[in-house]
Amino acid sequence: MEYNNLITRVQKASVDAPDTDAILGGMRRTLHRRHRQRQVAVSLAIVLAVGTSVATMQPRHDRAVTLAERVSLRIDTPPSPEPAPIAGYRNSLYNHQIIYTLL
Amino acid sequence: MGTNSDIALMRQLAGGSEEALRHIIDRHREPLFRLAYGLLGDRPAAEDVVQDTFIRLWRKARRYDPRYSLSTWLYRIACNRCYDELRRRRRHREAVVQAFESMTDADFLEAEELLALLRQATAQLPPKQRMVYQLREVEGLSAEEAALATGMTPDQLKANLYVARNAVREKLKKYGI
Repeated sequence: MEYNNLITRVQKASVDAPDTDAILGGMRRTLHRRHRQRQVAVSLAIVLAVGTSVATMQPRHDRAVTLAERVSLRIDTPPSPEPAPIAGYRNSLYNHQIIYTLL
Repeated sequence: MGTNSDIALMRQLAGGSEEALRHIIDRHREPLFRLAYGLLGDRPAAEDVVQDTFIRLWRKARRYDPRYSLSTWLYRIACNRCYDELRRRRRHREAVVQAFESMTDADFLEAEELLALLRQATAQLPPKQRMVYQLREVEGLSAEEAALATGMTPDQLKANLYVARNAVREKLKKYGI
């Protein structure tokens, strides 16, 4: 077979491309999946941002700061209905019971 | 240059018309799939490229530049996607060579086998040369269209095609072509 003949046959060869409905279906699934991934990523970013700002919050009470430097803080779950016992902390996001363990 | 029907279709697509999208897919799915399959040698990957190309078209419809034909723009998107895939899958070249070493008399090969033979011959080419070869030689695009699709200058395109063609011919000689 000659080279040009090969090329001609290749050009005419049917490649059995996916049909239009299959392509459209695939597009919808992909777009939906990407949308869900973006939603998860945004939610995670919010959680991390909130977690970071809570962790860097400084207590107003000096005594609590000194204590906090010398103890390890262990946050217990499940969430407690009672407000956090430490003065100076905003407890709207901080429903857990806080246990101090002396180092 | 975009035709009147290209411009009208893209305007409808930019307005969110699924009918226009369906019409575009009907018209362009086969050459795009043939290009992607020829470059990647892998059906699922080629289907992904075709799908991603139309997704990108759907999202960027408002940016369509009527100085270019729609087919050229689609080829450009598909080429970029295939190029990224080829760079990631360097081992693919070796796998294709190993799979088709045993092919002999090309006259009796079926169409799928011919495509595979040509893919085997182009597998050793660097991605840009393979792309130029596929667009010019197999898809039959003009030099201008191929230059637009690949982002190369006409001289770069000519040089890449010359090298690719010679390399492929040398490779095909082994199979009596």
